Amino acid sequence: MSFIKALGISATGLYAQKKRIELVSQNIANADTVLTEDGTPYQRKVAVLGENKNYRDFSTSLDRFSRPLENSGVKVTNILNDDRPPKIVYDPDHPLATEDGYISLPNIDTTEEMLDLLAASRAYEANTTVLNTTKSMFAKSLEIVR
Amino acid sequence: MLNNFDLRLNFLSKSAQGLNKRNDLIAGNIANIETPGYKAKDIDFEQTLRRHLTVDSSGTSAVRPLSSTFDHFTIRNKVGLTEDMSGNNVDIDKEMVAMTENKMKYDLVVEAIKAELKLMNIVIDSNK
Amino acid sequence: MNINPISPVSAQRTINQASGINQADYKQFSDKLKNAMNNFTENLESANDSLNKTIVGDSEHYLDFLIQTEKNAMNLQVTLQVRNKVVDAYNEIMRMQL
Repeated sequence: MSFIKALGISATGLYAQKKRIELVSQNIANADTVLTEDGTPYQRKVAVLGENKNYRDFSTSLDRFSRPLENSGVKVTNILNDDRPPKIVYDPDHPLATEDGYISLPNIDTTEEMLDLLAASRAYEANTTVLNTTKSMFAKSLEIVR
Repeated sequence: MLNNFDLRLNFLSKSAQGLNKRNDLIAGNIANIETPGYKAKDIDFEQTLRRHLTVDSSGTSAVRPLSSTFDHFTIRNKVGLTEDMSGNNVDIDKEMVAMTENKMKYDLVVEAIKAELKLMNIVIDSNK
Repeated sequence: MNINPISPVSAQRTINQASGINQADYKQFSDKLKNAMNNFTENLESANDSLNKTIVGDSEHYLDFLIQTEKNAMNLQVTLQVRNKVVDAYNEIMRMQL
């Protein structure tokens, strides 16, 4: 049942890109979060993507040992903290400023987030296009018995 | 003619299957467009099918008789692509073009299947 | 008195002479039918060839395939209708009281 596999794979793509976009929203929303629960400024979150061979298809998992190369979807394997140091800004009037008048702001660069957003959006759209093509191919097959 | 009809339908059906499989792989390539280290995949559709065609002296192709045992299509990594820093070599534009071309071939194959069946139907109808 | 033997009368020849058809015309017609069948087979093969080439990569001939396929369907219908008419005509002749 080829088309079910293809739909499943595209679905994993849509989900993964959507997650990336959510993280961008979260990062931008927290661009000024100086204090989180553990006392440090908010750290930029990054999604790590990896191949996903567990999409809904039994026959492929049975064949796993007989076929060296197989098709796969994608999944978010990890959400990591960006380890780059926070931005130190001179703001003596800030309630949480240190004795020298500095506060640590999250290491979030709006431009960087926008680029990520664009990449994720483009990838999301591409997955949608593939999904529609898969649907059309199936619809075309039905014409044989019309 | 009936024998040929069967042979043709078999060939067309395998072609359609292959194009379906290629669509699956394109879906996988696009899903993994940003996956670090991912290598774009394809099947050897054209090569496998060519093995099941004979070409006579005038260049006319026909389905090889006794083609009842078709080889499987093999999934292979695409070649000739450039990698990004993570080793991912999926080119979104190439994949979109491949997807469009695939759909066009698929439509043609389905039309061919419909045409074969229509010919048989014409013969059946004419005997009523 | 001489009695001449009665020459065998060919029913076929009588019908031919009566209706104005002769052997040569028969052969022409059956040849035409045979040619039509051969042409049809060749056209089928040509359409198949165009599609085969399109599938395995040489996509210049897809239009040939589409046009030839439609022509083939039309040709087949015409051929079969001609065949039906011939059969009908034959039946009608057989029904005739001689």
